[in-house]
Amino acid sequence: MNYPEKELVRKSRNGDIEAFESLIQSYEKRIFNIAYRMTGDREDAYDISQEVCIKIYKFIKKFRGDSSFGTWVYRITSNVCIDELRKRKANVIPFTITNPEGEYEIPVADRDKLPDEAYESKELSEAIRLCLLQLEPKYRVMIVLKDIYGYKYEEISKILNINMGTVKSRINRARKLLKDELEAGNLLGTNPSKK
Amino acid sequence: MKCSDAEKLLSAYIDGTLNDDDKAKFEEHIDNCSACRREYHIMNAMIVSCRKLGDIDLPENFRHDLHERLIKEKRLKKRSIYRFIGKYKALVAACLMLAVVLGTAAGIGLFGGSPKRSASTAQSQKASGSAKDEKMISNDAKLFSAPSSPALDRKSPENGTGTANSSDNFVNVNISKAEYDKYSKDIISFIESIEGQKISSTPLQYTIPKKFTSEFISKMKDSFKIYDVMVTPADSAPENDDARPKGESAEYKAIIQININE
Repeated sequence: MNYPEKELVRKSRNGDIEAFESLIQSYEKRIFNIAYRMTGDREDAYDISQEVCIKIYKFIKKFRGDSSFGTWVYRITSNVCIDELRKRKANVIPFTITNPEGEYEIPVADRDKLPDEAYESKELSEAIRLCLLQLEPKYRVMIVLKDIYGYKYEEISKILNINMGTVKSRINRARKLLKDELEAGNLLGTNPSKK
Repeated sequence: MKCSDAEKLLSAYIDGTLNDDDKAKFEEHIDNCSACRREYHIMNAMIVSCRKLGDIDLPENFRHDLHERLIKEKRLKKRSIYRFIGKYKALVAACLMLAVVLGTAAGIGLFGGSPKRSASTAQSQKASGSAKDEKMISNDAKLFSAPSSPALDRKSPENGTGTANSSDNFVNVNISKAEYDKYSKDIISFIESIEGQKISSTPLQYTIPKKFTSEFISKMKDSFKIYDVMVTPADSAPENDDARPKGESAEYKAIIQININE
């Protein structure tokens, strides 16, 4: 099926499953990955992204076309993720960075040189993934949308349905909190006694 | 610029959204402040690492499972409609019944006045209405002007002076074959005398001026001893022909139907 998105939306509104599957194909991987970054767990991400897709199918009649379909899809995704994390009340996990072989050896950056390469290692990425889970959902979603997926302020404002000023201040705050988490785990070569 | 101010602008600086003035002040500050410069480098490196996290692949069964769930969801949707009907079947039945009753009431003219009024309304609409409306309305008019007496089919008389209307009298003369053979010529002669003209054939339906109705009936009974004569009077026109406006009397007739019983 090779219809324009608008046509697929129209058919999906009438319950056409094939059309809906074609429509959601462009978004499902991003939905799954946002859920994964928000929960830090593949199985949870699987459950949430399936739920998101079903919700989109169920409520597609309510999509009025005021925003792009993608914005609407990611708004539902963000909301379902945040709601799920709130429900569980277990969104703050113990701070551990481990792999099957034991603890990661996080490279301690040279305080004087601070080469960017020092922060681009696989280990740092893994540390960020885990430190992200220490943040409250409302800040976590900012890092996910802005720094992992590179959405613009305006797009985030539409996705989360909050004003631009709030978006900017929350992004600033979220980055500061993430940096603090990394520093607290001595992951950036700073004083671990802070936490 | 103070360090606290630089900290507030750090995120916007990395995103490239500062105006030229703030950008210049921020760059001047981090050139001179090693702590803020370091903060900048750490934050920048962290964001670069975030961008490099990348996507993980969808689980293999994702689409298959989603397809199954979508089918279930569609079935549930249908079922919920039937369940609604099932749960509120009394209400649904009542609504349907009400719709039928209202429809019927509208059909027999309860909401639009009497049938005659409907017919006259139809006539007035006919003059200005659409073709579709005209067809419907004309059908309604025909329905409401149908004969009320089952004894006589009010078709146009064969020697007639036009179509029957509701102001005409209808006279059914029921005679046997023997009576007909015996009196038909006399009946026709009598009608010819009223009409003042010769009737060439011997049809079974005739018209005479309405004012001769009583005279015709008396003649049947008194002269020919034919007593089975039924009169269906006019629906609304005055019995007295003279009471009508001049020039209209010719429009009102008595239509005589001879019925021969086998």
